[in-house]
Amino acid sequence: MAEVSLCNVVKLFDNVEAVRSINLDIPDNEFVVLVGPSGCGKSTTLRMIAGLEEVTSGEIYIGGEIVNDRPPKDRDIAMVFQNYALYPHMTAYENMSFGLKLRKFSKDEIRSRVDTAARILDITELLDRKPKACPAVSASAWPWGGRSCVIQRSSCSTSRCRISTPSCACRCVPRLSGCIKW
Amino acid sequence: MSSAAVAAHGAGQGLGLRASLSRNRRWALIASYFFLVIFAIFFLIPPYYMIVTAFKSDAEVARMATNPWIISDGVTLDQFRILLTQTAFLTFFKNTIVVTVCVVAITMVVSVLAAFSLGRMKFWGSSILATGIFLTYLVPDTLLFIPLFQIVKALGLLNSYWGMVLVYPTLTVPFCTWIMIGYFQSIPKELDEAALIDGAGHLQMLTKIFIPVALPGIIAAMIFAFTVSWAAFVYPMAFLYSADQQVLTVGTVTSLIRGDVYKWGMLMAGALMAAAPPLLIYAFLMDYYIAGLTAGATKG
Repeated sequence: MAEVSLCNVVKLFDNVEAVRSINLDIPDNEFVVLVGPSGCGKSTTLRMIAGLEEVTSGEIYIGGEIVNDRPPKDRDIAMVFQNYALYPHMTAYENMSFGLKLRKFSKDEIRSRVDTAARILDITELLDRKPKACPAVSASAWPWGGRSCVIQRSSCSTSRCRISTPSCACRCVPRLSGCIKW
Repeated sequence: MSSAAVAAHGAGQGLGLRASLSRNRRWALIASYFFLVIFAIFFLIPPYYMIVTAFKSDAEVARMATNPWIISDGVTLDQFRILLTQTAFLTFFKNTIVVTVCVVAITMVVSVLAAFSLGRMKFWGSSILATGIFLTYLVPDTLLFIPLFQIVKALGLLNSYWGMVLVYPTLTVPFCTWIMIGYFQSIPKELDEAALIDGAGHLQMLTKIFIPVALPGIIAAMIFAFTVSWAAFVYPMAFLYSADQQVLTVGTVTSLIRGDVYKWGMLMAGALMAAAPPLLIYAFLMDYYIAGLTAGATKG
């Protein structure tokens, strides 16, 4: 992990101020929760840290380096999305290993990391299953089936995030925070 | 009123409402079946006539006294035999396949790339461009063939089916791009963001995430491009005039109608064989076609 700092970070959407000059220091290995009412800028802040939103002004530091102009893949960051954003055409194993494959990890290394993460999050038996695919509708309609599907999808998404051993991991609006092991 | 009486009254109202809904549904079904049967009969008459005539002998087709809706003299395959052995039908078929495969390939490459950039990579003017592409589809091909004739002639592709490979995408690309834009836009944007964080570039995002997820839309677009290319008539009629370069639609008609002599049996046999590939494709891929065309119509 690495320390994350936000210095006077501002985000404007046209003339709407979504984030007003936020200053935040998150030390190495710190677990921080942003809590606030809907629309207060929690997700926007996370998205700016992840590189999914451009910063209007201010600086974001990860591991002591300014990352404002770096694309998401070069920030060594991972993110669990609100709706988990699992790729519907891939199995849980493929979902989890996708990032590692793109980073050219060896097959053995990928297998080992996926197995470890799956064991920790108790989804080993789901590794060869796909989220039920329905590409024309939103990701929230991709259950594995049954009541436990949300936990399973959440675990898969968390594992995907975990196995890349990022410097910083963001989780946007966790719905089942009590169920998630990190 | 006691609570038991209220409950009984409520239950009675509930039953009445259910009976009324059931009655409405029954009438809706009756009306649906009535109109569907009429439409089915209306649209199945021409193919039925085509099939029946294709299996008749020339003598029976020409005989005015017989009932045209049934085969009286027995089924014969003579029309197919003569068509395949004594005309250039197989050449037309081969040319059509070459043109269609090339057009579908070109259309898919252009449409998928265009739709991905217009639908997912927001940039200045992207929505105006998307609308502009669709508007080009609204220009009828009968208006376009004169300027296209000049272009095809200038390129030396007049009377060559390769000219059709160049010209048909003007019909297929706009609509396929439009279908694909709708499909790509219906895919949650978190998928691109997850892919970006995973380290995918735009091309990897397209090939590894969007194309597999949007496969029903792509298949719908392919079927559309295939149908347009297979059934196009105006352009080959205007641009092709040698038998060895003709495609099915025009070649069958021009070689089997001589002045006022119509070889009906062979025409129908040719039409039947020409209609077979699209029919087979629709039969197997209909679900994808519907899913692709209706993508984005509903939100999950």
